[in-house]
Amino acid sequence: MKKNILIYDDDAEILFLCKTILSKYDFNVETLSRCDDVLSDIIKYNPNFILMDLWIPEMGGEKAVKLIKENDATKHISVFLFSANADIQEICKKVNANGYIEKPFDLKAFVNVIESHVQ
Amino acid sequence: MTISAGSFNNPDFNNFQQEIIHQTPIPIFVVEGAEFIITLSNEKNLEKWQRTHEEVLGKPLFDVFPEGKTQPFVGFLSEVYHKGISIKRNEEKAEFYHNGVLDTAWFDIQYQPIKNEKGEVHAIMAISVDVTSQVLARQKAEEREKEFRQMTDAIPHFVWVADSEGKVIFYNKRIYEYSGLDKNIDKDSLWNNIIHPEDVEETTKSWQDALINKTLYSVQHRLKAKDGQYRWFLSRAFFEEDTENKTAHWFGSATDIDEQKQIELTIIQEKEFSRSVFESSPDCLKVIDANGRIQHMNFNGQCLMEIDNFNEFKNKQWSDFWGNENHILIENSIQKALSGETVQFKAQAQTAKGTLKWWDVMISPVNNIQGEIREIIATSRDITEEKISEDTLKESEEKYRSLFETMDQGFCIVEVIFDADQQPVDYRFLEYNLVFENHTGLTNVMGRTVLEIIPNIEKFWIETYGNVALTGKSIRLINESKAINRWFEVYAFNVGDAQNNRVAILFTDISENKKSEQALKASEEKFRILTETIPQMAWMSDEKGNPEYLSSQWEKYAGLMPMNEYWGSICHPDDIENSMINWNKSIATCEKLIIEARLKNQENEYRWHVSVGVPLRNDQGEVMKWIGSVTDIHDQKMKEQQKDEFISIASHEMKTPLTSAKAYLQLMEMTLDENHDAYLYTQKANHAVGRLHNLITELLDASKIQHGKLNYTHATFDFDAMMAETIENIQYSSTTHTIIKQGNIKKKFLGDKDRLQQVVINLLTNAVKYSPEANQVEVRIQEENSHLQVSVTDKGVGMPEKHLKRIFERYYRVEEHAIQFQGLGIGLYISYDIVMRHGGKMWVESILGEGSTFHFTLPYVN
Repeated sequence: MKKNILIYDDDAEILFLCKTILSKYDFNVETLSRCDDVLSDIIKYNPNFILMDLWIPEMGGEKAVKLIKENDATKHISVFLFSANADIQEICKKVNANGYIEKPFDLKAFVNVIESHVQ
Repeated sequence: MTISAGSFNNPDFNNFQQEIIHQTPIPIFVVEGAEFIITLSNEKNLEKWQRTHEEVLGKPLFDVFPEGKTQPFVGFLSEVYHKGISIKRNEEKAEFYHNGVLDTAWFDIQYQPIKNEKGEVHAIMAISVDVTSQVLARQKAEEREKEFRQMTDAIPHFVWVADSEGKVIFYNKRIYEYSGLDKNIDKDSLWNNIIHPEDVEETTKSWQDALINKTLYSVQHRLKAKDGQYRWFLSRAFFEEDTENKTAHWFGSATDIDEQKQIELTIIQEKEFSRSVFESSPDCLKVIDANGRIQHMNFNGQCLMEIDNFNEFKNKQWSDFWGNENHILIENSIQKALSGETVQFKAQAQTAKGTLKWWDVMISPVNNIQGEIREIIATSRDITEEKISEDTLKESEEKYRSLFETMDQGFCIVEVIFDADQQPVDYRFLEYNLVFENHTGLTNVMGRTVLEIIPNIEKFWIETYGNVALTGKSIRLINESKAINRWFEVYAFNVGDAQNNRVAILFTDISENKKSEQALKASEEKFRILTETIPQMAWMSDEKGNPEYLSSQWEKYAGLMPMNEYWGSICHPDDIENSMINWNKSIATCEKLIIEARLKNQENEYRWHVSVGVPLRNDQGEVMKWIGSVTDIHDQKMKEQQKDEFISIASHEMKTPLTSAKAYLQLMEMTLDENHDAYLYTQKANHAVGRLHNLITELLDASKIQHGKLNYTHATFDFDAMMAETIENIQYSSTTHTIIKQGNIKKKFLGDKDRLQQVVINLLTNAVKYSPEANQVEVRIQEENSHLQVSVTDKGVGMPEKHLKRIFERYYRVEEHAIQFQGLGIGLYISYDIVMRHGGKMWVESILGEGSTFHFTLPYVN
């Protein structure tokens, strides 16, 4: 069964790019350019892996990851931060995300990280 | 032998018994009846009576001896006859006519009654032993003793006789008369009653010695007279043996010698007195004979002269003690003393042990009884200490004087003159040192009063010194004398006795200091005026940082408050700690102070300010004050922040399309054949995107460093491996240069591996970039004790010296190379910060046109 990957990013270009790449690797990819109610999104899409842009409207990536990790129903899902921010490493630790992917990324590394962390 | 029986016919006597009576060598006779008829007389008795049997037997006794009727025998016999008792008498005197001459004889008699069967006395047996010779001898002895007694009583001495055991058998009456003791007192205990307790021991010992050895006993002791007073006696006794009489006696006498003894004691006491005077003198006393030889020296003198055994020095010439230089002086002095003069002098002489001492010597003649001078007494007093202290005093006086003469301070002694009401009115100069004139400008003041010299002198000075003289309290002051237009720093104190009104004055002309002090005050004043006119907040503090002055701008900015509360009150809480650290550091190092902090204005708005302070030093280079200004840099600061914020957002925004570009290029690369031209183009594009990414990252880093926000992640890593990997990467992308690596540290290193790698990349890419003509870059890794050092050398364009210090500043670009080489001027700025943050150092050596070497060190930390 195909794994579900949910990607948040406010940049449509990035979403399209990610979808393009991951589609080649036999994943179901859902992309969202806003994050208003992350838990509802999860119920709706049932993702195995979430890639969360740090500066996502409305609630922001930090808050969204926190919500996922504090909820018993969702905390088992792998969540990776996704940003061009240089401080991503610290933020990742702070919100207890499973990891991060820095922008710009290396294609092979991007695919490797997702393949190894998808549940 | 014949037994005369006569009428004596008694059956009680048998022949044998009669025979015994007759033969007994003791005279015995028997009388019977009241008539005392002689019935028996033995031969011995007849011999004694010088009668025959016939003349006595049967006849009444007193018929035979009619002279006996008046003698006691009659009574004795009658008593025996009538009372029936026996009578015994010794040495009964009897007188008998013998050849018509009355002879006297003595008898020991014994009359025994002889009783018949009825117990009646019928006869008396008389035994009478002639003891006449015995009695006569005794009488003679008694007579001699009586004569002896009378004789001994006649002599004034005590006389006594003791037996050979020492038991006294006789004392003459003198002893009793003298002591008042009863004659019946026990002779042996007599002495115990009269010998002085202090003399008992010696007396007993002498007596015991004499008794044992039978030698002459002789002792002087005090004996108590009846009035309780003691007098001195000479007791003597000798032992004499009478070989003829086989007797032995001690004959003793005691002669009153009290008067002689008293004289003797007086003499001893006098001698003892002079001896004790001689001995107790603390000085060295010597008796010297007419030949100049030492005869005696007192004990204290021996100590002073360090003589252990005086006998070694007895009879030595006194002058030998003195050195050659004093020899004649001593000889002459002795001669003068011998001629009756008393001589005194002071000179130096050595002791027996060679210690050189000063002596005050007095030599006096000694007259003997005949008034002749046979010896002299020399008294030497050890005055070494006094001499030394005298010399020391002289020396210190000279030192003191030369001190005042050589010192820079003015010095004078004045005598304050008082009027009748004890008010000081003037003072006179008694003494002053050389520099006095320099300090006062006054000349020729000796002996003159201050009013004579300076008629308009301020009353203050006279009153001040007058007070010192009166109270004896010293005073320190600084004051001006307008009369001579000088400032003085003065220390005045009372000298000598309180009554002499003398005051010593130590002073310095401080007019110059005063002037410069005033000048300083004036310049401070100028500074104040100046600071009031400028828009910045100006401040001044003492050398320890305590504020002394704040310009009025402070009040305008923050409102009125106490000077030392400003900073604490208006500085932003987040900036206080940092500002204090900087302030303390500057005070400790005396280096320029720079503090950036937010300060609150009256509208409670915090605005960024920079406080810059510099130390103000005196001629000796000591920091006297800090002065500084506080400038509002808020707008500047805000602009900078906006710029950094802009860079931060811009770099983020730029990264988003970059991400797409990079990803699509990689996707494209994956789809292309390696031999296709497009593949090469994709690679080039990819490389360009990489560079762009690096530029954006650096720009962001630079703005982060500005705020100390660049993050570091420290971990232990293999430094050699990091170097090798980095060099390999750079080498991979460079086709023109060969990177030569030298050295290893062979150690793990604790630090941020990625950041340090960034430094090495920066240095290597710079080396390649700025040496386009060269083909080689050298990397040297060195290991030191506490740190490692990395040096990157290129043979490139180099740079002028003026740039060497600024090359690590942000956005700094070497203008000479600006056109030739592109760049933002932030790579070295970031590298420098990274090295600093690891506690290391970074510097550059460079020669224009020849190349550069960049060094950095990193300390090992545990």
